[in-house]
Amino acid sequence: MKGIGRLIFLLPALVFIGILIAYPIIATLVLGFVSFDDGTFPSLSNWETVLTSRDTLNTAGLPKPPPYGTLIHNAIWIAIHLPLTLFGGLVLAVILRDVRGSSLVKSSVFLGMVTPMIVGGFILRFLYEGRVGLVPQFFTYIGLEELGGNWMAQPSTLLYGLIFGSVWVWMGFSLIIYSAGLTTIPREYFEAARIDGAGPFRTFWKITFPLLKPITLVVVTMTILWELKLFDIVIAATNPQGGVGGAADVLALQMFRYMTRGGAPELAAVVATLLTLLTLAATAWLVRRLSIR
Amino acid sequence: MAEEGSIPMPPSGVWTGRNLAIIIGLLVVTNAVTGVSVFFLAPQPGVAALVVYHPWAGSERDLFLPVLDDFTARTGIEVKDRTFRQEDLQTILPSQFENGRTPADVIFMASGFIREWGTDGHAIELSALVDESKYLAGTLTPVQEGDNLYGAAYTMKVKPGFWYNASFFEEKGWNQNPANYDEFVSLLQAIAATGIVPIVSGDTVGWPLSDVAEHFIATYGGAQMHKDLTSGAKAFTDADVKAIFADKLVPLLQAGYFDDLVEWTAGVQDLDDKNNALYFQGSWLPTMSQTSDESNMRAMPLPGGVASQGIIGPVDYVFIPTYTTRMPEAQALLTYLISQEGQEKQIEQGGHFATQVDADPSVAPPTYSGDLIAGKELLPDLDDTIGGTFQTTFWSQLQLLWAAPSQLDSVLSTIEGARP
Repeated sequence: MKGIGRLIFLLPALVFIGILIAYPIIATLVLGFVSFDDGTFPSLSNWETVLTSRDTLNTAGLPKPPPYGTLIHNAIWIAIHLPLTLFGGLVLAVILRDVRGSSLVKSSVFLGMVTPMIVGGFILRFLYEGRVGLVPQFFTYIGLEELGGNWMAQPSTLLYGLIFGSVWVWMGFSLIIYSAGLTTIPREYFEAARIDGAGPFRTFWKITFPLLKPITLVVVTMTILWELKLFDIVIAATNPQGGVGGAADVLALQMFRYMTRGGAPELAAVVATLLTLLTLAATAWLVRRLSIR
Repeated sequence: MAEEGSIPMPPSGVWTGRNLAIIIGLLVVTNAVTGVSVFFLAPQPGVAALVVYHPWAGSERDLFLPVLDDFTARTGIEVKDRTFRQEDLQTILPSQFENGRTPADVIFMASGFIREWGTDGHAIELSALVDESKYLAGTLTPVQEGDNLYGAAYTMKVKPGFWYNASFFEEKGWNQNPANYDEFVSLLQAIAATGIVPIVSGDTVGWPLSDVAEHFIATYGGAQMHKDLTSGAKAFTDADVKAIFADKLVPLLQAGYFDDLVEWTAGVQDLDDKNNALYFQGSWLPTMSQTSDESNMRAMPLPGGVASQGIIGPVDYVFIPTYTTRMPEAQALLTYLISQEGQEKQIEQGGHFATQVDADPSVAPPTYSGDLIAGKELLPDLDDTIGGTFQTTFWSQLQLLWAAPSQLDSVLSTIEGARP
């Protein structure tokens, strides 16, 4: 009787989860294995199409500027954007910990987080525009003419421009989380370290950083998830093709393009599944690695 | 008796009854207020206007509105127009159609899209409304699938060459009539020597660049090569096609004769401001230029080339989605738009050419005489006709070519690989 009562209370939630989450996930997974050419199921033809597409992987002619394909572009985002936002936020949080009025600075940095990503993309577009953009104008002013052109029109600057330009958008997240984490470390630890003669750098590496490991786990995981499902900031700053020759194309944009432009939901389903697998793998690996230590 | 410190409670029956009364009272009041508001304030039912989606904004839209006004004057049917870029409609329409809905009753769209979605049943078949013999030969082919016709031909533009300011050229003593490719390059050298980057690189998502590429193909490869590339009988990686890019276009890009990519309407301003000297655009450019005398804007086709050249004459195609709720009115609008009267009304505004054979070309302003297309075969826009992801790949790869001309091989093979 008790079990039936629980089931009745759970039922509405189960129905919604089933319809809105479980069914779309299963349907997407299945769709990726349906060949629209001959109707066969299961078929790996869609996976072959996506994984051999230059949209996904384009390494011909290396070394060369982008495009390298969405898989590598997302990896580059993670390789550059993650450490910059992670350590940028951490360093700022440590520096601002005991500073009067630091909340004002933190709020300013956090503004990037509350700014809609689509707006962030438009801001980046204007920052890098050849004639009026702050960045090319600055480089022209200091005499680096080769960086004084339109960053959005050159494959060699487009991807990296977006990555560096997006640091401010996300750094507020790590700053706020690390700031909260710092308040949980007892002050006695720092006082003991100072009495024992440890300098600020050694204190940071031996006390602050290790004790913030759970916070780092959260920041790293959330940042990687953001970098994998990156979409709005890229499409706003470039176009549905990911800019010049697809030099800034990313997986989510590729999925969107297959669905809306190509009329190929089966290929979009493959990219969606790939995206989910990568996200799950990254998260599982990090959780496991950081929880063991 | 209540315990000390607790809130005194009325008997449970009284408590429940009082709350019920309050709730019922609130319901009655809110419903009454809503009812009265709706009765007095709601708009009176009327005849909704037809909605037409088209790609023209600014001055181009201003030239289209007289046509819609003329239709309304003739039929009494109100029409609301909305500007939507076809790139955006490619995103919006599929999801609407899949749900059996349409945001507009009549839509101007790329031929490849109309054919593809019409074949799937999302556009009505138009054979009964369109007399094919009344349109220029081949005009309707891109919107046909077998015997079925899913789109109709409105007017067309032509993309005759590089527009320039004639008085500016005279003032500078630049050659306005280069006879061959070498003389054209000499002209560009002369312009560059004055510190002006010769050619505007207008861009949105890559389509104005595709016009330039198509003009090079139709001039130096000829009309047949352009048609073969459109149909798939030829590949972009074929040696003769590649040679046009490698020998004619890429050297100009590498020499810096094309300026950095700029938003295409800003490019018109650059031409007006004499920041650049040449701008490849369609016949609509003089209507967008702010120069006082439209006739001062002249078009310079690429000189030289093969004997049987083509000129890109993109037709504006229009269709009726299956899901319109106002089918008779939508059909009336489409019928008017493609009629002799409708097309004449449009071409007299300038920038357009008729596809309807009975329409009188003399109603067009002098700038838009048939001289622009004389002796050349009219060709449909290549990427509009193929459509789908080929089109977007074509655009973005040409953007890449403009930025990195040395990647020509990769660009051409990627374009060819995107062919459906």
